[in-house]
Amino acid sequence: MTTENIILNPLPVRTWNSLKMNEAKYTGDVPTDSCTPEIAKLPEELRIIHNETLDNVKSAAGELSTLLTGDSILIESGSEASPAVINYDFTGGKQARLFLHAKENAVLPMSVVVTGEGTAVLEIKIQADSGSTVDLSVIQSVGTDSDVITDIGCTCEANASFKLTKLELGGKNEYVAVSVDLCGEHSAFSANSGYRVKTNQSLDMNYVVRHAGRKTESNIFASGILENDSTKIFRGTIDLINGCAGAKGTENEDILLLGDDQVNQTIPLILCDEEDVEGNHGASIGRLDDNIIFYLGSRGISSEAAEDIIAHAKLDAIISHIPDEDMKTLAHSLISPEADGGEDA
Amino acid sequence: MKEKSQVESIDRNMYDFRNEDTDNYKLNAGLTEGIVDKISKEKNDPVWMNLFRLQSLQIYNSMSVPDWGPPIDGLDMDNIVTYVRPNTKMSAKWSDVPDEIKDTFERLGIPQAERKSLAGVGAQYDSELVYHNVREEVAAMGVVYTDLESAMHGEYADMIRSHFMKLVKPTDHKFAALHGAVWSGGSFVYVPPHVKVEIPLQSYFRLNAPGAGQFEHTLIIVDEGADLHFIEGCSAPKYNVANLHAGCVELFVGKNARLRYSTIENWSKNMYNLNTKRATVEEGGTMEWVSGSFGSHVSYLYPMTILKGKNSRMEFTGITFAGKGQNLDTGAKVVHIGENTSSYINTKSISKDGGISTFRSSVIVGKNAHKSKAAVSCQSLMLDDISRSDTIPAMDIRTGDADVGHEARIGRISDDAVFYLMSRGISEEDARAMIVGGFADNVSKELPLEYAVEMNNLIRLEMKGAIG
Repeated sequence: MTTENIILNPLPVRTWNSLKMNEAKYTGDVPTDSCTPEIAKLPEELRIIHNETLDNVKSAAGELSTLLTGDSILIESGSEASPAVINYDFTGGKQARLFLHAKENAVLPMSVVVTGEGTAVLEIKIQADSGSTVDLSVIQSVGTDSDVITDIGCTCEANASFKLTKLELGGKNEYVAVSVDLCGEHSAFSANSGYRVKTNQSLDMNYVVRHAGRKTESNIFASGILENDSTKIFRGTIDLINGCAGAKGTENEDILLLGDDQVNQTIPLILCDEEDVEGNHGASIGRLDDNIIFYLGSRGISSEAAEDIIAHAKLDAIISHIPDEDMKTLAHSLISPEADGGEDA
Repeated sequence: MKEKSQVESIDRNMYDFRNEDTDNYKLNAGLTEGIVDKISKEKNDPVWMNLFRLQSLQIYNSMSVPDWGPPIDGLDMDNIVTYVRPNTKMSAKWSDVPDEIKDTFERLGIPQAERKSLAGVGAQYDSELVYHNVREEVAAMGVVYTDLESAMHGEYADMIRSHFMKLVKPTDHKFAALHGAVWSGGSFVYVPPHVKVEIPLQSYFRLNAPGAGQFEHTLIIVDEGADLHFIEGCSAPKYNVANLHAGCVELFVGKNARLRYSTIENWSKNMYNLNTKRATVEEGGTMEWVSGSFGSHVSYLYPMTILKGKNSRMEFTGITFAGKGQNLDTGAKVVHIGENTSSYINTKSISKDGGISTFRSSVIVGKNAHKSKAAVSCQSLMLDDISRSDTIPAMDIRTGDADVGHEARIGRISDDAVFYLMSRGISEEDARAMIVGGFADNVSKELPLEYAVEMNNLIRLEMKGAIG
């Protein structure tokens, strides 16, 4: 374990420094011990290779990469595979490195569950060859005193697609970096990120999608709940590079504010160096609509219970994108009122 | 002589003509304590202003250039002349203005506009105002519209001192500090309580000298319940050396008052436009910005509004057109402090011929700005694949009961729309110009007619030769 002072999640293009949104500054432990993966489900179509890496996949995590030196596993899919599940328990503070390679026309559905007490650093790098599909879901529910850094990167060749479902449920300070290069024609990326940031927790996200191939598509959707005294920043960049004619990039954010004194920062960038493209961003930030509270109140549901129902509905919508049924069940159990220590509405 | 309102007569020569740079007094290029002291003496500054300038210079020297905007490597302050005084004194009579300068403003259509549709006009040529006049009936209502230097020595001296660079402090950024050190010219407007100025006031800034900077300061105070529309226009001939504009606008909008500030910026394309504009709005007040950015080589321009009082509101409507050789970084900032405040930022940007347009904004909702509402909408149009358009909007919301929305869209002109217009006998060039004109319609309809015509003409000029 080393104590580090590093820059995480830098914006690809800077803005006013006074906003303090250009990057995150992380001061804390970066574990050097490797976390041993528990392979909970591994279909026979997948092959594990130990201590292999994919070095050409980019990162949006900033200065983290030089500190990632631990053991790694590479999982390869050469055909249409059934869902796989890997559990990582980071108790004591550990780092884990997972590499996924979907070969031509292969399908690789993967769920990763992140638990434990202590600083957790997880790197996932993906190579999606032409025509392949990688469907990754990451469910994070570490202890409430833990720092979590997740660095996900993917390169997509022609007609490949990368689907990411990310559920952020635990941790004290969480940093999520997602970097996607849509290099090949008709390659696609979709992200569904759900989070519930509780009192005194912070969540720092940096999504960067580079459209290099023609007719590429990306769709980033982040939906979450911010409770009292919580902090969240969402950086989302769609970079439409010259030559990506016909590309479309969309990012949407939907935030429900519960309580007060949140710090809620959003900075969605669209960088456009090509004429024949579409880039869209939308954000909706606010409290629960008065009409919804009134409607549910007229059915005997208190405003607190109404807020809880809507908050769970938002996360349920994200969970529906997880490919593995067992993982869906697990995710539902983690967001249930019992898991929160509360009572059912 | 040309009139701005005649569409047929508009061409680039309307802005690009230049006068010989001989009959004037100018300081040496560069930025030193000695030069700042000389400007201060030229302006007959009170002691506090002389000290303020020197402190600003120290701040300027201690700050670094921004690490986030368009490159400004081509701007070398050692080559910029910070003070150029035309060979005349300011006058309230148009006939007293020297012929060459008079001719300049007549070609720009300023006196004609004054006669037709303005309550008062200020005309600045290089570093000094050469003409300032306000209609008698407006002055009779107690409206003060004068140059800042005179105001600093007259009955409004205390008001100037308590407001000057209090909103935009020299410590804000390097070019605010530069402005504090070398500012010259500009206007002071005071509108007394409950006075509504029915027709606009206008200041026009013309920078004629090559390699010079213009650093005018505009200070407007609209008192409780008062109402004002202020128009700002600027242009310069094109030279092969860099010119600099680092003006500063400070606007104070009182309780239940309203101020509309409209700008058509058409600096020449060798200009570094590093301008700072800021407004503060008291309870129930309204600030409206209308902004068209067409000129400059590089622009950093983000009018900022501080919604201090409860129920105050702001609206920003802007358009930016970046053509060949231009890198225009524009947008708006708003800070919600009071309860139940609201803001709406609506911008359009167009990039063509390799031009770079960046929309940059920030919306900050403070923890006490309960029940505030903010909406941002930015749309960008790419006219070819050698241009660039970026949007960088930031939002920082610190109260649980704010309602904030944002939407951004980047796209191209629809082929179907061009085809439809061409099938009706319209040439492709005209069809594209019509579509771009329609795209900019939300800005032009917010301007007085003469200025809307000028803006549409600028768009037509920019679109000329867009095909092939």
